[in-house]
Amino acid sequence: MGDAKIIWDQSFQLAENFRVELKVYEVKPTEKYPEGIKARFVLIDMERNHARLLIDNHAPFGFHIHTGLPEDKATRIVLNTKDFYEAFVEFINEAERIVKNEK
Amino acid sequence: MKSKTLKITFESWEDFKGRTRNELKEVIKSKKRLIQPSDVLIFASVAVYQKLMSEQKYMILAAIHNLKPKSVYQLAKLVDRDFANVKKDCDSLAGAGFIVLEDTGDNRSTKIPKLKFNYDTIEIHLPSMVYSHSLGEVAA
Repeated sequence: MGDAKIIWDQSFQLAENFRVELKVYEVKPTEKYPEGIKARFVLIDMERNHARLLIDNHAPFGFHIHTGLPEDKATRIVLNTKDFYEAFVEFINEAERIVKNEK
Repeated sequence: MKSKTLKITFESWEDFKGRTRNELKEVIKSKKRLIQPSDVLIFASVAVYQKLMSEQKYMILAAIHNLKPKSVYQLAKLVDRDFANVKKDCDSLAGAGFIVLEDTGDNRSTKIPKLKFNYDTIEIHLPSMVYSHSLGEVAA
């Protein structure tokens, strides 16, 4: 991540205890990030002080979702998405579902 | 010294989704930088802001600004509250982007509470609302 340049950075307080952080970095194209783009969409559970939902895009998985956070960082579900936009929509839908279920 | 302001703004979740969808497309296509200003915090509604903030949290922010405590423990003493509750409020304020909890660098878990930047005012930009009742249609 040494040469990563942040090109998109947005954060949003969705609910009292949930915050959304959206970041996209321009990185040197490598095997890990062949498109030269690193995306990171996170829903933070502020009460428990951890990332509740995380979608990122590195090889060999492509876009994938971490569903077992914070205890289980290794479990990933690979998303069947064509591009960044579809992965983002998936993140938004999942974040909505989590926050709704917490109410 | 020029005063610095932290701005609280409001945007509905629907509007945020729409805006960020468009921005993401633009950013990926053009690699143009779109960075949210560091002096702005966006909340989904006034209700969300009100649930998060309290007089006690404003007192914490004022104590950090004016007295610059070296730890959350010291901060708790300054505001004369229980450490556990102050720690919980600090975590909440840090999560929402009002403050940062800096590691001291020693091997203990001590954190130094600091304002996100050296702001001295919090400015709340309430959403403007315009209501319209067309009386003519009712009478017709």
